[in-house]
Amino acid sequence: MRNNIARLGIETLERRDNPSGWNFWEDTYAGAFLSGLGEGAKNIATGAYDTVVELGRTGRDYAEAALSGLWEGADNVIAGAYDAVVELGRTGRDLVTIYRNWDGIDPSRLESRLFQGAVQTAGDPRAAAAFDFHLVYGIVTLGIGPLDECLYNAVVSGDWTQFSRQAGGFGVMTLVPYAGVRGVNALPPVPVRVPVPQPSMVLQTVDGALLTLPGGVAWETVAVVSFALPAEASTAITVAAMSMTGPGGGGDSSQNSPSNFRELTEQAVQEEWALRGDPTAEAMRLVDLEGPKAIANPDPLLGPNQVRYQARFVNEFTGEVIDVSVNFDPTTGQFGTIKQASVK
Amino acid sequence: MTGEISYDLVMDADNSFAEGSYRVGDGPWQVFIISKRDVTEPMIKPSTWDSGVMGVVIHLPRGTRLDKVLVERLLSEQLGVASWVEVRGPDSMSLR
Repeated sequence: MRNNIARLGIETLERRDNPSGWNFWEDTYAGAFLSGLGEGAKNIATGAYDTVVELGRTGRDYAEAALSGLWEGADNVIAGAYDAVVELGRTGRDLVTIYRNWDGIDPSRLESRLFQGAVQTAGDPRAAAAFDFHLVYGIVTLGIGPLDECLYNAVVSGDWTQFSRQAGGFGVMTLVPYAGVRGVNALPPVPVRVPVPQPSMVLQTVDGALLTLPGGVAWETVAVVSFALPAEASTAITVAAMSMTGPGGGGDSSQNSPSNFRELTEQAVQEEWALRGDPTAEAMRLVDLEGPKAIANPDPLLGPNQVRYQARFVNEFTGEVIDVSVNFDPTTGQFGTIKQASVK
Repeated sequence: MTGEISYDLVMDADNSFAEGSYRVGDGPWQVFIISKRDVTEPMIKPSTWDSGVMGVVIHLPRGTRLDKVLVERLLSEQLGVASWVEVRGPDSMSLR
């Protein structure tokens, strides 16, 4: 059991003004939902969106897509690359605007392309009937530097008692890696549902997620954390801990330390094989890594956010191909049970 | 003949891999491991792990949609089980 996560400093979420002039933070909208949860992305994008927030009708209807990336659930919209989009729909205005001040984004480049993909979002009556939320966004810089891969994770704390005021209310956090260049973001958001409203509960990402970038390039890596809060809530939210592996996150990139999650996994499996007495353990080379997948049958060694990977190794000494199941807790950075999946 | 099946992982519409356990009738719990590989058709291999537990390793073509329906169909064909009941059985990692 090891902790391979480089902890980063605490940073309070920073609110960003919307350039169109309306106060994003004070308005109340009905029908808001994060499409990271599913249906909301219909009719929004054929292109690439990581996070889409669609808001129903309250006199000003919005659909919002934050940070471009691959969003498989979206369709019927002109393909394009948008870093952040706010759409007004169903009010006859069909206005699309953007957040200009995201770190690392060239505003002029965004503006020049944004409206080409203007979205015709009809809104979703199911959403309108269900939710009434403030949306809160924050940007946290994870690190700057050469980065091949990172495993990111966030733990966010706040006073969540307001959730209990609203039947069916929930909070959602999405954590979206942004690598400083539009189009690089290629990860789905990490949504979190708050199951039971409790005072000061800690909201954690469900999974860590793996961000893979071209090797050897210096990226500014930023995570965007977004929340949907009940409209009447006045919760102060703080990113209490944010972590990532890899040198870009300030991790140890010395020769003796693994610099990305693949190397971490390879090392963990080598150590497991060595503990079993295999003299060729150091010859185990990772050649393929599938996952993460959420675990339905929890590993008692790990916390609630545990995931499983399936890794394919080649033992360079024996030539044997070995599949291995690897449990991992992205919250703590600890590996759990590691067992061979394939047999001879 | 019916069987009980337990999935280690949350199964989506198309998992990249699947692992779990099953038992037929009152038999012992066994393991299934399913991966997508460079094969042209499903390959099912009866297997015995180091712990002595038995089961099957299945390799599917990479383009295959891996969901519960497929898992249970493949196991039914291999094991002669008419229907499966999903239960919370032992994790395959603990059996292997």
